Amino acid sequence: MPSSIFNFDSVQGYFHLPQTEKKWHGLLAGGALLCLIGSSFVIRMVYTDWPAPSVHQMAFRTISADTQVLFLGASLVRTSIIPDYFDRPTVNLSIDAGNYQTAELLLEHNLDRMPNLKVAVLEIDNLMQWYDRLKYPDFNQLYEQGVPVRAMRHLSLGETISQYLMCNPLAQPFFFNNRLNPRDLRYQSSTIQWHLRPGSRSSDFIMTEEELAKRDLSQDETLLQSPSREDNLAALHRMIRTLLDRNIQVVLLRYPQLRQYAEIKSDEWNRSYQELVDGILNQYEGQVTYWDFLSVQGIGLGDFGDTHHLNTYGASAFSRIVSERIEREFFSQAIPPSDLD
Amino acid sequence: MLFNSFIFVVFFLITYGMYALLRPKTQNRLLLAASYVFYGWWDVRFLSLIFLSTLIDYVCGLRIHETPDPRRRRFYLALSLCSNLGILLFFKYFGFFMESLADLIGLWGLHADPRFLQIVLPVGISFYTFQTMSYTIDIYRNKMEPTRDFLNFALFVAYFPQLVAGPIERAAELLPQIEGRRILRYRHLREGAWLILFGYVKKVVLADNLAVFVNEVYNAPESAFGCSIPIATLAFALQIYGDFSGYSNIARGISKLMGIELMQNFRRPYFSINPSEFWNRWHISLSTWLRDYLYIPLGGNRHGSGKTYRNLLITMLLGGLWHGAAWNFVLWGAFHGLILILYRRFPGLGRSPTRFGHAVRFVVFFTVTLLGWMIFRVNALSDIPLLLSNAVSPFAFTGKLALLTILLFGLPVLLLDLAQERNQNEFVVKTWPRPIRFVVYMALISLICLSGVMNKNAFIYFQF
Repeated sequence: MPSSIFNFDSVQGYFHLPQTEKKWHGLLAGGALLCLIGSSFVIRMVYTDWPAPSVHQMAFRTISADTQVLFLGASLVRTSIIPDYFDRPTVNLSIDAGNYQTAELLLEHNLDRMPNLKVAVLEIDNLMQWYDRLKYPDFNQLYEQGVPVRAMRHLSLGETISQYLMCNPLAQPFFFNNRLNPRDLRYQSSTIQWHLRPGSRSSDFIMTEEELAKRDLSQDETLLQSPSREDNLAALHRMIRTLLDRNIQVVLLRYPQLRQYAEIKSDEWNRSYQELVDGILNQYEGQVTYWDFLSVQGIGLGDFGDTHHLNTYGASAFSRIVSERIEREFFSQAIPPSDLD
Repeated sequence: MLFNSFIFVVFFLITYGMYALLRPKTQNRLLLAASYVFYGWWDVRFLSLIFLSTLIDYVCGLRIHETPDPRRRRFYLALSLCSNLGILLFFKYFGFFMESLADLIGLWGLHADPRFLQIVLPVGISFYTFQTMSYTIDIYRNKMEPTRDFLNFALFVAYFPQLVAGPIERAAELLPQIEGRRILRYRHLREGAWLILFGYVKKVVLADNLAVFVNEVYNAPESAFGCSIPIATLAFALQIYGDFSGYSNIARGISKLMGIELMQNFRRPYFSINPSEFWNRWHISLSTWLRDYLYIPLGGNRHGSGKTYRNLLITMLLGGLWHGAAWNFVLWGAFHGLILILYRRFPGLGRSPTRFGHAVRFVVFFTVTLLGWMIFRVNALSDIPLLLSNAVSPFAFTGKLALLTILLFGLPVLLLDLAQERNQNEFVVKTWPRPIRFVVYMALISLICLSGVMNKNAFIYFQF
């Protein structure tokens, strides 16, 4: 065994190592690669029921020329809207930790596949306005919902590189948020909070007063962030214009959140939010509809899976409520007076 | 730029690739540029501060060496110390002192608004100011000669693997390696790779998975009760060990890959049975710094028991304050100072010829250490009595999930630490047969891939 394999005048010293040593290194590298691939598949299997398609792939597959209603947003939309409860062909293209820029990408790359789209419902709240959510490495969801990696142009160089890697199963363990540890696995088994198995968008966990008391809502980082950034809101405006240009009804929808969660937001934030909504409604002069479902009759504590995501029961009820509202507002025909006789 | 981030991996691969290909002369320039990129990644403004500190100490070091006049030598030493400590005091402790002053004034019923300035704390400032101070002090003490190459000195101050969380290197150890010819030996690669692997396991598997449980209890102490409190404290003890020693391991591993040896900062500290052994094993670069530049100049143990105790207390108080501008760190320092005094006064507490006695002393001292970590971790001093009372009343066996996590992720680290301790060799794994080594390496890699928390948590010691 040489005591020195190279100095910096001759990096090639490595190649003079004995053959057995090089084989050993090859074995280690191969083993590490296998561990990486194996871990990736284990995590995928535990969290996504892989090789079954994920909820995002399923959503992408349901897009068709018949689609009439489209939902865009973040995890609130993913957990709250179940397309099966809608009377018309509906697609839910939400992604976790999304914001308006990710929603714009999804719209841009899928809109042409929905020529009969009538209504687009966009989430509006603090979570969607929070630009910095992009730092969360969950954007393989975009890829699974039809956005090519090269299109994720709004990301920084580092983030763009990570997108390429995230869409690659070999590198995914480093970018996949879910990890195997007792805590996450407990949620996995008892609440299925982030279990993206096909057909199950929301958790089955039922929120209780006792469970709520355990949570320190003031520590919720989403509430501590600055509410919005211009380029994120610019994406919202671009989406609205694109949709209006195609004569598609635009609805800005504020999703239900627990009263205790919603109350933490400062008066200043509430004021700026109201100004934002009023500004959009004024700017588009009645072409954009705003529905505030922050607290809605029929949705209570037991309908939440955590502080602000609906569980399966809440999602069923809420989907029906939204479906009825859409039918009533956009699809009900005015009955001709003659028919009344 | 965090070691546990994707961007660091890219950064290091590029830097290392270029490093290996460049001629020795230009390697240092590359490392300096890389170090400034690494540090400036947090905030470019921080660079001006580190540059200023570098410039002052470089000039002071040369002047101290060149002038024979003792008064001028003292002047340049004072200039160096005052500027370093001034920067540290201003950026790290100004807000703390002003708030404490306002609280003090408030005791007399007067009102003062302490929000004079919003000062951003530059990452790792305590580490590099201590490192540069040791340089000028050592020159003043004629223990070393200053370097004449400014860029080499700048690299000594800003060397990226240990810049933000140590080890706090001595110039006499690191500068010759920067200035001299480095030969990368095969053992450097093997040891470096092992240190990096084990460091990542400690940080992203052990520390970061336990952080969740620790934060739950310590960020909301009023709603924590029963066993969850001691379990969270145990979790914090492992978290801070995994976090900090993990960082040191990675820093040393990266350095070894470049042919530079950094000092060992942790030697399995939780196997200690008394406080002086603990401080010989925990954050060794800081404790030896405090010993050489504070405790011994104060008189050390040379002037009787009373003065020794005083010197211990002062050293530990300042050591505590070094960790952060908050009263709980001061109290933590005082706590360790008192424990050191107690064990010094009653030496039998920390020594035993029998195995059983050794085990008892280990358990007792580990419990004492945990109490210290509780003081260290609380967000406010008032949380300490609250946590202590909530731990027993109402009593309940809560925190089982945290305990399971401790066992699951702590066990591999404990077993490897045990093996190292038994052999007194941190690279004991190198001596094992290849099949066993292969299994160990693959198990650790799989742990990182399956359960490592990547891209999320900064290292605790960055804030110090």
